[in-house]
Amino acid sequence: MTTPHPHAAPPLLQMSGITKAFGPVLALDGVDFTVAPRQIHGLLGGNGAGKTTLMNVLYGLYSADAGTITIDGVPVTIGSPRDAIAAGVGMVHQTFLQVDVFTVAENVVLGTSTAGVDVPARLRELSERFGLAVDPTARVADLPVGVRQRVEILKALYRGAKLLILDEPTTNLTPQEVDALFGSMRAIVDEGMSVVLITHKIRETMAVCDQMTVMRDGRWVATLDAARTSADDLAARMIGAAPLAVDAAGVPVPQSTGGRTRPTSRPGAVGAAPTDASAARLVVRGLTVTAGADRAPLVASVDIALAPGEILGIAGVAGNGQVELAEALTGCRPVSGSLVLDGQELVGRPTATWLDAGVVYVPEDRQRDGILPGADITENLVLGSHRRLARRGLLDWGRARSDAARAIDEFSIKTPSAATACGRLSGGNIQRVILARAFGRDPSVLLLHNPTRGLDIASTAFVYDRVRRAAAAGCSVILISEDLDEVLALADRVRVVYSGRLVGDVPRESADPYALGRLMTGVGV
Amino acid sequence: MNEFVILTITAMVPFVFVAQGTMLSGRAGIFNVAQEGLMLLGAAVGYLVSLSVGSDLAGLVVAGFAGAVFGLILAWATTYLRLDQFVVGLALFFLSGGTASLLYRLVIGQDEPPRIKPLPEVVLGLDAMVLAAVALSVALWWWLYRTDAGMRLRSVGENPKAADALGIPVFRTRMVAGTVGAALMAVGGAYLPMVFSGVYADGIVAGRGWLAIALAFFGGWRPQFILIGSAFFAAMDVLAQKAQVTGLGIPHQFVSMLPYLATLLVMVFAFRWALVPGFLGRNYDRESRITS
Repeated sequence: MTTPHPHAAPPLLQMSGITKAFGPVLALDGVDFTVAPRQIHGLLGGNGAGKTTLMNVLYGLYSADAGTITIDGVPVTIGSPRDAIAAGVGMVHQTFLQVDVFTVAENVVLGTSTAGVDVPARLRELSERFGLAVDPTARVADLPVGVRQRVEILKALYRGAKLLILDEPTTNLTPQEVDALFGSMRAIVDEGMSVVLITHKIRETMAVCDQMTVMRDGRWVATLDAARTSADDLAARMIGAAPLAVDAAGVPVPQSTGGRTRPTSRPGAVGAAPTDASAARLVVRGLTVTAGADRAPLVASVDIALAPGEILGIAGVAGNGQVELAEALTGCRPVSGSLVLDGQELVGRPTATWLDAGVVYVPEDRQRDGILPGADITENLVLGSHRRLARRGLLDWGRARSDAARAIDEFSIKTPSAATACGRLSGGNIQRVILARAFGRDPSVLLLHNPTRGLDIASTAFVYDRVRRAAAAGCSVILISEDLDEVLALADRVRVVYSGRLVGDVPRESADPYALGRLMTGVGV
Repeated sequence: MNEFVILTITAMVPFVFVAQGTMLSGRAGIFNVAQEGLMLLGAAVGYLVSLSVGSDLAGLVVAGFAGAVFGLILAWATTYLRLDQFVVGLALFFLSGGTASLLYRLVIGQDEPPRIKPLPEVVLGLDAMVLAAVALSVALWWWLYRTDAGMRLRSVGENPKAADALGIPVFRTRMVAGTVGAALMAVGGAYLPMVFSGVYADGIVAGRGWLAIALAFFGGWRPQFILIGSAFFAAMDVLAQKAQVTGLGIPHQFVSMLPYLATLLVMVFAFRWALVPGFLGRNYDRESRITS
């Protein structure tokens, strides 16, 4: 980084030496970050790199332990979001901060004075200027993710933000919505503002950013002009030293932990061949989940045929019945229809039968559905296998503890001990515990729902590697993911869930993200 | 007016004040469960001040301040110390109730308590607090749904993180709502000796505080429905007393049960949509890394 020339305009934002610790964990270690006026600045790094923490400091949600912030050349003290808003900073969080029961307009004006302001007119004007169409009278709880994101951006623009921070904004969007978002970002910059795009996807930053800053382990690594860098260069800086490849998602995968990055080289994969029902070990027919007599079904008449070793990817925008579909396919929810695994009908049977048949579920919400947060790692690993571990009703804790020690080692779970409460682990390590439990049961059907959401690169690569190895060993995998890149990286076949129905069925090789995006939004269904 | 109607309207007043106080705190996320004790405190303080100063108004005001002190403790302990709301609330229930008894014994002792003069009738045989209760309900409704400040308060009780991210002072809002809410509860309690008995007694509240919590749910945490609900709760209250004194051919316990039963039925059948503040009873930590 160079010091600005005396005659040059000061940077819009200059953060220097920002340090922040959470207890013993140093989340930010003397980070410098500079954004020029009229710029889209990518803030790149794996999860846990400190990108969001740094921006939460700028937005006043976290108070920094050390460091200074300068906006338009003027030093500012930001102790709360109120200060940040006054300084012209707006932030769109990954989990939207909206009051669900309020309307769009109420959410936008909340906290401002509406005296003498024609709110609908102002909203219309902002919507048109930046291409962010919304219905001001709609209740936000009823809106799809893409629209709720527009509401968040409007909230910041309405407050006159000159620096807009977007935290992983593309996570749940279709390719079409991503294009529209990038268009809006360009319109915002053309009006003289700047945008910070927090992401772990290199392809996104290369597509839209003027400059990017890479962070790793809470430290500043590099600030680079888009024109003078490459995806490989960025990936190398994100990961550190090890040689690596960039997978289909534009997510760098270290070779050392990732093993194969091309799943087609996996032995036993059926690849593009359409599955012959006779070769299928899992046959689902007319699986339906109803929401009540007068309501549309949550999952409508789903048919699936899956061969051993095959990975079926199910893409879709969040809220299209993914949770219900996952729970229906794993016996967590009463359904109608038929699900036959290795010749055994499972619908209507007790959960123990599903578990014995080898159905294993890695749920989306790992804190809520995946673990007992207050119970220790050993206890969490025993769950579901407790019948096998019990003798005359008494659990064999000696064996459970030795199994846990082995799992911690094999799955590289970072924990002080096997007696640590699971809820105290990081998201990545909780997912490793859940995967250790899942694979410990030798699954014949493995269902993963958003298995890498919120994980760092190493953990993501680890999950991909374990899934590919399980498939290579003959396990049938169903991957439900709202991250289309993830589906395209792992799956042999791709289908799309829309309004509780499965549509499309394309081999990965011929999958076109835009065609899938149309299916995900219900166009051409 | 019909005697039953006048009795019911009078009995409404404490329900309105206490339930609106519960609602106001709850709309900022603070679930006060010390109503029963705070009402008793208000009754004792109101009675004693009215007796010594000779003014019911002074009694109501000082009772309100006494309640505000306990509300401040509740708001501070749950907002800044993030202690469990239910535990702190129960502790304050015992503390405020005990303080009421103690104050009364310190001042009056074992003597025959002198009576304070009842609140004067203003219109149609009703006192000014009846008008105040209706005015309070209307004002709360208007303030919550028609003003920016009211919308901010509601946002704090629904999603404090969203409110915080928009620069709304979440902690200050909770402190104010928790304090004012508890003050209203104590005022509701102070009304009891001024209208019904003329004297303080440890059993004077008789479960109305607990009923007010049910009333807040019954009214869907909305001031207009709470006002309507308090008429029903008050009518049941009057009926139960009538049944106890004159006998209506039904056990008075059955009548006393009806408000609870009605609240249950309302919650099960009528209000299946979200009518409870989203963050009710929970504490906000800005730097918490666990997303809710």
